[in-house]
Amino acid sequence: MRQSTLGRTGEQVSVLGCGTMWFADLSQAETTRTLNHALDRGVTYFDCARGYGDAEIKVGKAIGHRHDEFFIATKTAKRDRASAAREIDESLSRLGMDHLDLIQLHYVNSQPEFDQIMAPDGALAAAVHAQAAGKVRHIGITGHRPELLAAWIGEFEFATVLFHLSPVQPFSATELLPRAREREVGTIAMRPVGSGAIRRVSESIRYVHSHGVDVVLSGLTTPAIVDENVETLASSVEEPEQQALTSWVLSIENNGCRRCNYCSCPVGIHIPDMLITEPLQRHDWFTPAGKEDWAEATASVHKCEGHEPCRTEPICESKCPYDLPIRSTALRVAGVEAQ
Amino acid sequence: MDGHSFLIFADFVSRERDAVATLREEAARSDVRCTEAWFMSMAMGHPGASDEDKQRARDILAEANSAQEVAGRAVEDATRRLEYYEAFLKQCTPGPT
Repeated sequence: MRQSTLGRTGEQVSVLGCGTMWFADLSQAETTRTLNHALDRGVTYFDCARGYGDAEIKVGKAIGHRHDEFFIATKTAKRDRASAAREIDESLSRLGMDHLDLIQLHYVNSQPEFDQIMAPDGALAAAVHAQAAGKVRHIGITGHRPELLAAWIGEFEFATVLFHLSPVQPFSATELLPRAREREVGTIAMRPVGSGAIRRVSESIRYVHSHGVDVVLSGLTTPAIVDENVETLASSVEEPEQQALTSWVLSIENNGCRRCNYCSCPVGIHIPDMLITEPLQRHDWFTPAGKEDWAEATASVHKCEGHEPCRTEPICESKCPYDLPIRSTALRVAGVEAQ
Repeated sequence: MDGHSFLIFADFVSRERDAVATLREEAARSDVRCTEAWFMSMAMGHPGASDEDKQRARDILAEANSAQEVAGRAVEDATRRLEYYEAFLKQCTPGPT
């Protein structure tokens, strides 16, 4: 497994990381088998969160005894100091470890939230205090809005930043990565295959890797997926391949959604899922599971046209910070021409 | 158990295995929905979120949590039943003669 240096932390970690968001559904036996296999294949970066069900507990039981072989990252989504401090202690206990290699302030997506965590009684103070006490080694931040993350990594010496990067959400490549590199912030890309929706797995993972991120996080939920992903990243991405991958992603014509989740649909359309995966429907690149999720996300799309309060000013569009044409996309998906 | 009954039972157990696999897939999808609903409710701290948006996000999360619980219980029950059937099948399987 090839290694990379995780930004200014100076830590050597594997270019492929293991995301555990979907581990809540695995049994302990499956988790133990898969994570030990991943470690044996050279994966040394494992990413958890307090919010991922019992993933921390399972990861701790599975590989806690091998902590000297890997880098463990987790997250707290609490915004105030007391709650975040409590969660950091809980994460240590759930993982069964004496320290965390990285604590990340989870899913910070708006300026008021950032102001809250940065306040004297905010979550950052808890992380800094835990670092001083030797409970955590590094502090990072995660979010779904690359342009805001790019600004925020200039306001504190965050060691790492975790963000979306995939062929259907390529925005961080231009909006965040240049700034992160300039400030030597470790870069960790998540959801490279759109939570399992994109059929072209190898190309997607290599596309993300081609941007020089330190770690590509993938949901390594079975030993077979571990092997497949390890092989995919066995070699670096050179110039001709990079150009081909970039051309491919440009040809996808994404809908601009960053999944900030600000939109709220009164008729029940899962707007971010619809916008992000619509190109997969258009190009027929869905996995079977992705196709099912698409069907569910767009099940009520036919109700959009007739919803009276949205006729003059669609509620979703009034919330969208990127001014995306959500209604016309929904109507197109429903097979109706926008008026 | 005679040979014919054994084959019928073995076929039944095989279908139960498939059913458990399907239930597990459904539970995995309900986990995904639950996590996405959690993200959505967490996002409702944004400046433009109305009380209605916040309530809707809370409702979606509650519904997703409840569906996840039901799906998880269905997997547990079906797995327990399958273990029992598998053990019985093993007991009835003719040994080498």
